[in-house]
Amino acid sequence: MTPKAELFGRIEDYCLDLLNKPERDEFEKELKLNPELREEVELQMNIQNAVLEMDVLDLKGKLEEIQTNSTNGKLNGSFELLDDFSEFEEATAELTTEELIESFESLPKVHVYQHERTSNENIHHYYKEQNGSEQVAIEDDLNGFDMEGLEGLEEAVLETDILNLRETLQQVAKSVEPQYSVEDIDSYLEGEMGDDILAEFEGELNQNELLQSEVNLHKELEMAVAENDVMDLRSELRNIMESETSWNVSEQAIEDFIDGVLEEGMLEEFSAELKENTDLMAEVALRENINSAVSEMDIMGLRQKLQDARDESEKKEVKSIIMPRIEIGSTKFWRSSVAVVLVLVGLLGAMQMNTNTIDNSYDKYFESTTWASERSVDSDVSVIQQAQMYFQQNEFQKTIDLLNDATVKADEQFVPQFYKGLSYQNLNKYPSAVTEYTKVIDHGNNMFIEEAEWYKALCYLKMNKRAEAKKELLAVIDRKGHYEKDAKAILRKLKYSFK
Amino acid sequence: MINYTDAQILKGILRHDNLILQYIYKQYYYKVNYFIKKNQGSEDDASDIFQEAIIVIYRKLKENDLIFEKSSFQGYLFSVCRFLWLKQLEKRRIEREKLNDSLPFQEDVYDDNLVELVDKNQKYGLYQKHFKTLSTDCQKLLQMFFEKVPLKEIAKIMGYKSEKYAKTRKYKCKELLIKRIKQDTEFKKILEDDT
Repeated sequence: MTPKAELFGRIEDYCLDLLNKPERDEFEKELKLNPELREEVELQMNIQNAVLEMDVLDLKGKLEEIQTNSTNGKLNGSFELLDDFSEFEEATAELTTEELIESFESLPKVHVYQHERTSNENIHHYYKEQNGSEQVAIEDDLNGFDMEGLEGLEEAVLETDILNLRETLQQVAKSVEPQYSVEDIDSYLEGEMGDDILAEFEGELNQNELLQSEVNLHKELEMAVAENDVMDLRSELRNIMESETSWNVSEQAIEDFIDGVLEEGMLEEFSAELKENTDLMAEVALRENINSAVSEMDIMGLRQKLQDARDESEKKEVKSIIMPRIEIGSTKFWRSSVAVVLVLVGLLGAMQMNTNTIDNSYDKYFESTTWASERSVDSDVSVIQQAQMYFQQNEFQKTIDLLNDATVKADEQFVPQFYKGLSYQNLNKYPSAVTEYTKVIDHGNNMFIEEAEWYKALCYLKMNKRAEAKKELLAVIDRKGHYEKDAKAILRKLKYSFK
Repeated sequence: MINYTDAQILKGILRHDNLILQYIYKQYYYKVNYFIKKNQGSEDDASDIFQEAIIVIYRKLKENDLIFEKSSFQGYLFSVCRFLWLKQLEKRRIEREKLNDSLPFQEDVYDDNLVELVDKNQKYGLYQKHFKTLSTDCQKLLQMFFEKVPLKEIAKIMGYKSEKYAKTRKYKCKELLIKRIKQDTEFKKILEDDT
């Protein structure tokens, strides 16, 4: 027997539990150390399991027949496992131990068969070598092997195949794991590797592509991390792209385009960019929609009335004690409702382009404020209360007359002045209103200043004093208060520059 | 808006001049954005491509390898953006024949040097992206190592007890960085492209 045959014999003995204890211990020790042996044993085990999984009686009969053929030296080219089912009864008969052992001796032949069927398996070619030309004959015949009735065997064999494949994949995965740590590679690159390991490392590096790419990665990483300038430039670009608008036209040009007054030369350039620049398209659409939305006075008026009615019903009882700043509240509401109005605009599709006249701007933005008693004064309370009543009843002239007669402390004059201004404005007496508002603003330290500037600007608009209106609107913008956006919108409408 | 000459733009890029960079963005980005959106890309793709094209040009400038003979800055920028997007499309297995060419580009820009530089930029960009995800300490530590700052000094700056600890920390940081790079699917694609 050749050493190989001996080895396979021992493997089979081990699988069949036929080794004595010392032999078994020795075998198992070797098994732990030798992966090839482990693979072979596993294969044998799988074969054994496969064999045991099928109809044992059926297999036994076939194996016996193979055994007979084999011992007769007649390798007729076929195991003919499925022939002679007439011998079935004989096969079911109880077997002696010798017969059983003889049957299992034929397992190597089953192995050969499986080898043929699963040609991609990583198994040995022992039988090819051992049987020489006879083996060729066996293999030829195996090609025509009738698998009918042996589905179980086939499945089991295929299962083994998958097991082997899985194992192979695991081995491949293990083999691609880096053999050298980051520390080793760093030591090598920094020239700190000991001579004994260095030779081994370099030898490995010459042959191992994986290690080469690992070392390359380390080198490239060093260069990449040192590129501070590139990283800075990248983050600077990112900041610009996040914070800047992506269009190449001025705000003035956008407004002029919307108002249809963009000069011809610029219009061509603007249209060319607008065709491709989706951000600019969105900006133009947004501005157009805002224009349309704020010109929907009927809807805004209706909403304002509904809001007023609700506030009125909720707060009527406490009104005389703490007067809510309805105007300011409604301004907030007006702002927040722009988005809703935009949707409505889209739905209605009835956008009315505004005419941009001064009167239009004035009408859009002038809404007389209500009397806010928390901003009232201590002096001559009864007169102030009476004036408040008149103001709420839109009796503006009476309000003015009464406030003119009121005795108010010198440092609280701004209250009657502001409401007088409002009353004059409601009576369309703009120059008088401006005079009163100016006094409020000049006072310099009261809660009416922003509103006074705002209403003063509106008065100037009505008086067609654009330059003065612009000055007041810029003052309102600088305060960054409630009227900032409205003031900006009016400036845009009037085609003033912002700064 | 002021118009800058090509020479001013190139100098501006080299200096990272914010005004020039803003100018480039406002002047050219929308065209790149339009081109990429027309070719199955998104807004994010467009800003990535635009940004990387400027970086590629910066690398070229650093190497003193950017001379406009037949082209202009605009032509060069668009050609690089187009090239970068074509590479992306290839990765996404989208046929380049279907490309909707809205950017004016110059074929002669696409020389071997550009291809090599773009590959390097892609690789380095990926490394730098992951480097930026490390803790500030790790970033600082690695940078000092790569700049060959003596170990003793590194330990002192970082407030470590010993040089040995500084070295161990460095390995840990580098190990983490390498792990993150290797886990990135983009890195796997780069490796596939290299082989």
